[in-house]
Amino acid sequence: MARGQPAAWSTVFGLPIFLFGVVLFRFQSLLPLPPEPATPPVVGAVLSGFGLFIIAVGVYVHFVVAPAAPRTREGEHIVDQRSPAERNARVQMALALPVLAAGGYVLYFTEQPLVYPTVTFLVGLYLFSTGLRRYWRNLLTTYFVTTRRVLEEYRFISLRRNEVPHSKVRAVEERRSAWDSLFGLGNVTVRSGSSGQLTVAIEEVYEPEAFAETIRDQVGPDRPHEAVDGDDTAPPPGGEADTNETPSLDGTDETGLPANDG
Amino acid sequence: MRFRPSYADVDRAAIPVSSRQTTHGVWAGNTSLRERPVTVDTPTSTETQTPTSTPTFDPLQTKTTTPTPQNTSAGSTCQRGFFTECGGSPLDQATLTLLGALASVLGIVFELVRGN
Repeated sequence: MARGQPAAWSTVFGLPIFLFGVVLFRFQSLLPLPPEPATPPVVGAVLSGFGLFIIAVGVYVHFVVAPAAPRTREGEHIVDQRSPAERNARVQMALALPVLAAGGYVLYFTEQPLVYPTVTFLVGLYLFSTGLRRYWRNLLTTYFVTTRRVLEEYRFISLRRNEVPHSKVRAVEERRSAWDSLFGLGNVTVRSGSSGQLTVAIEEVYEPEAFAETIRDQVGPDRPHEAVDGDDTAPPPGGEADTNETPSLDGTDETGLPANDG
Repeated sequence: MRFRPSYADVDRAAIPVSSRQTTHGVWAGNTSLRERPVTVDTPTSTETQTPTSTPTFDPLQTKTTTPTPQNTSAGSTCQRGFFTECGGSPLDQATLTLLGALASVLGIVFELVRGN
């Protein structure tokens, strides 16, 4: 079962759309709609279907199995575990609902040119759809930091698991947008090289600084994973390491890549 | 004595004549032999129609005012346009709703399945 109450929240956001569609489809005479042009009942059917889709996916996300803890190797254990926030996505959906309602009012209850409801609907639907997608995705995503790896797991219908071994980490980047700052969130990106092909993006988590520090502590020298891994490329304890093989953890200096690093 | 002339027989009447009191008498020179008051009445309605030309009005293609219940009832001549209130559009309420809902559903499902 997923975290939070996705079934309840999806019903909160999908039920108004479903009910408005039912009224348009079956009880149109109750609404003060203009007589010409008449609103076709199929509009109500489409809106009802959209509301049902939101509720149904919310129920599915509620009962789908969230990513479990990864299987650890011998001597490996989970140091920290985070899940993306939900509050920012819910606020985005709540902000989108009045915009959608305004678009619906101009489209169905007035005879203004169609460009006005179209633009309003585009803005409202974009906010609402991206908010829904963000909400459900965040519920199904979990980030782990073990003594050997940084992992990202996402499960919806399929499973996506992405990991970067500590021995390959070359940069830890922290980012925080204005929208994220409103909710105390931030993003941490763990890169394994300058090309960014092997990257774990930890998005929209609370206290990103502490999480980034945890990762830095694990990938730095004298960390437990080195003793467990027996990695030949790791710098020897106590310093005096080859600077070309020392991971750059400040997110700004990536010039210390080893020659054989892809 | 009372008399009632036809309104059409009145020439050069600048303004409609109202009913008024006057005197009628028999005169010899400047001497009035006998006189009595009379009342001149004007007709209360025009008996002849002034010929007028019937104006013709061409319907405007665009409207800039808020529609009134009179012109909204003539929906067959004013189809809701995309940029104007009249003029028609290939898009209508059903098409816009269908496109919006479909785009949203497909976008959400695509992004969720792809995992980004």
